[in-house]
Amino acid sequence: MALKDNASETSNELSQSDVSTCDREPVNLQSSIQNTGCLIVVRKSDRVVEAISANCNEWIGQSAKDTLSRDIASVSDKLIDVMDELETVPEAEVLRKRPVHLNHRDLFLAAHHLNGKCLIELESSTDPDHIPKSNFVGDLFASIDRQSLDNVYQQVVQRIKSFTGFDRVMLYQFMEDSHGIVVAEEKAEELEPFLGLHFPAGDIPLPARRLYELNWIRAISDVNAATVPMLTSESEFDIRRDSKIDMSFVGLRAIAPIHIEYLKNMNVGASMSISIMNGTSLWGLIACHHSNSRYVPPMMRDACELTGSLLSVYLTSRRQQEALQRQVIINESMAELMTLVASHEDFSEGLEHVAPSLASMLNSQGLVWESDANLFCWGTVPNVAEIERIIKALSTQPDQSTFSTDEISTWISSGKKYANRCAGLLSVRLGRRTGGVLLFFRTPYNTVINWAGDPDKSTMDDSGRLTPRKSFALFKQEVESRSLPWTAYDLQTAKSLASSLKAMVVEQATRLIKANDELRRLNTDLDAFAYAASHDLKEPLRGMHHYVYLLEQIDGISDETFGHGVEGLKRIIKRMSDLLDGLLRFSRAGRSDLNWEAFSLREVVSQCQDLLFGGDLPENVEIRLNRDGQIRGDFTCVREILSNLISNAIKYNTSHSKTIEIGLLDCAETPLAKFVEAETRVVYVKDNGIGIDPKYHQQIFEIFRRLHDKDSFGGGSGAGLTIVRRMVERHGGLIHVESTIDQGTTFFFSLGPDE
Amino acid sequence: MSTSQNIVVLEDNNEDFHVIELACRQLKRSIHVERFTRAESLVEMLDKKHNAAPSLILLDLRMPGGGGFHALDFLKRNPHFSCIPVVVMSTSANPIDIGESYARNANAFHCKLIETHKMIELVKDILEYWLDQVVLFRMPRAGAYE
Repeated sequence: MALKDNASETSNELSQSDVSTCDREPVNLQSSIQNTGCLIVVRKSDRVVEAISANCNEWIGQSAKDTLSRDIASVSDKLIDVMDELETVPEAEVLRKRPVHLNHRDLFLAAHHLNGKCLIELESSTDPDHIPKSNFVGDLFASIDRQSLDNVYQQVVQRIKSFTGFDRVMLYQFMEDSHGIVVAEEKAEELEPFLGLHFPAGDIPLPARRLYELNWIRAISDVNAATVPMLTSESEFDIRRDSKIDMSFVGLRAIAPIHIEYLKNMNVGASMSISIMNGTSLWGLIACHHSNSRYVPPMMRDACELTGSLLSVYLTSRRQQEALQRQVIINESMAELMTLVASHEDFSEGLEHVAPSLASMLNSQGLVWESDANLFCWGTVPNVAEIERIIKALSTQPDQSTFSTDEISTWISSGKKYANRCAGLLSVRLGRRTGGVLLFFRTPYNTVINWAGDPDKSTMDDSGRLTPRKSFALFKQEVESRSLPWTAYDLQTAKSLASSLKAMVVEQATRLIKANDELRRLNTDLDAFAYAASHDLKEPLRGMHHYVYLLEQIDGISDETFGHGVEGLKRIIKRMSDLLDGLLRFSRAGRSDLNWEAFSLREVVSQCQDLLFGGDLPENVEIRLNRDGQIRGDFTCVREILSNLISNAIKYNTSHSKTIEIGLLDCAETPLAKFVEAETRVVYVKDNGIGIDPKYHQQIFEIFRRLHDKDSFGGGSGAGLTIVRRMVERHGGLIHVESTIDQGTTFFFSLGPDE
Repeated sequence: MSTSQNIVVLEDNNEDFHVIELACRQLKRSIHVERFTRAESLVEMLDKKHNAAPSLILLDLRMPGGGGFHALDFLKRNPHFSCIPVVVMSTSANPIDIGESYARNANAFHCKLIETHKMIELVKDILEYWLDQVVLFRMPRAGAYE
């Protein structure tokens, strides 16, 4: 596998871990070439031969001594034309293979100039076994037309394999994070498959990548062959002291030892790589391997090179096309999802409904939606505490609607705890501070990697450090806590998701404001209605009472039935009036706005006493404040709650001396402990009254529900406890009653969580 | 005080007005009660006879037409009548009505009571208080210094 091409000659150490070292090595400054050709370096200014490969005699019939420092014309007049032509072409443009007859041989010549030097490569022009006969490139492109990309990849490797005769041909793709994957493979049956293997970015160091970008093709015909040194006039035998020749564009460039080691470990004897470009950057490689040496003749290389460049253009346009199609599909499914979300009255509920589709749209395995009022999770996500931590950390991020990381543990330290489940995070924020945030989680890479072969059946030499398996193992290690990277498409999708959802949130907020306005208006209406109703209903009552009064004033009627009737009428009128009052009070209890403040229990109890008794307690009543303290709530409401409870405590009490005990308790000491948060303070009102049968403990809170005769215990509308409960609940609190018949009753109530 | 006093009552409800009459009768003093059942007719009458200012005005709030507030506004905005005590008597204990009455410068607000005898007592208290005990500022009559 051509993963290690072109590492520098000087990069002899095999350390894989230090990729940065590799990245710095100048792999293009070579001082030797492969033995399949001859290289002549001529100074452009005066056309003097500066360097020549040591095998020159074999190719041009002259020794290095005879050629170095000589005019190129004296070497061969056939090269003068080439030199002339090089004057007319830009730097680094290679004059394509042309036949030339030198030293009684038919050769192919390629030439280019760089940094004031002309580099002339000579290769054998005939190789009877490998003269391409068919229209390879035309056939190849005809075969991939209108195919799916996967099929295109497969066709390409298949055809190149049969064309070049390599044992194994792979298509190797670089991902966004620069690591590589084998996406297609065609191989001799006995070879181990590499399809699906991933490789760390460091396997192909940056300088090597750069060379792949400069050259469409790179062939190594025999990894075991000795390389041919370049000789210069200054020192025939030691080139190292001399400034090296930039061989970036030399096809015959020798192979770096590190790469040879790699190929040898894989039992590869020869290799060829064809670059696939995406614009000016490397998209991938077609890597060809052969178990023995294999020389690819110039014509065949030309065909492969052409294939590489055409394929690059073709694939680029195909990718753009697919990206467009993908965008269209995403837009369509997004529109569909948004319609679904919008069909729910509640935005969060709508989101929850489409969670699986949302997650799959961003190729993620977990989804969290968090807003002021909601938190829901779908799929593989961290626990709630960790989610809160993430959201807190996100709020310190610069103001942006999306944020992403494919390695959460490097972004947030607590991420290490769950990186083995959720390694990648993409957040989508709707609105600056409120509006909520969507978190998409991706599981680690290694949970989604497909491995075609059986790692235990490796036939290769694993003693060396550089093998595909070890590279893959290293990659797996590198990505243990990393997810599939978020691609530009993903981010694009996230952005359009954010804007769609934002629009929806705004719309929802507008709707909410409207609804609130409507509600407020209705509330005012209801209030007015309640008063008007009680006014209009009471008027006839007053009239009735008036006539009863007049009847009473008649002198001389001492009839018992008459008196009884008059009394009865008066009682009913009074009760009706109480009921109207109760209804009015109840209707108002749930609606007026709460005005939260802190005050002491003593203060509110003393006001209750003033209200109920005008400051003077009845003689047989005692109110004890047991434990005073600060409470938070709406003062008027709390006063109303306590007044109701106190007056009940007195009303439903037949003891000679009626005692009422009021105080504050810690929640844990009360029956409310299991319902409310531990810090909440609880007020209790305890009496020595008649008690309430446990079977009525729920009924007492129902409106107009009286446990006793209408006229016993001082009557009353039966709305009092309903109002009490309503007010407690409006504070976010709870009320509970404990009672023993004939001994007394205790009410406990909380006023919601302390601020 | 022993001279006869005029009071004006705006009340559309016959029973409620009867209570006021009963109260006056029980006070055993000479109180002349002029009744209106619509605010508009009360305003019209006073507008014609500036000098016929009563000693006290009792207003019910809710009734057909402009109601008590209409009369109240007329009285308190007119310099001839703004010093006459106006007592609002309403069934409504709506805080909005109460606040509104005082905001429009009513002198007092009372809720009507269901029980007639209590209501009679209340009206008697109101009459005695506003007719006898309160010290009012009397605008010097036009021409008094002439």
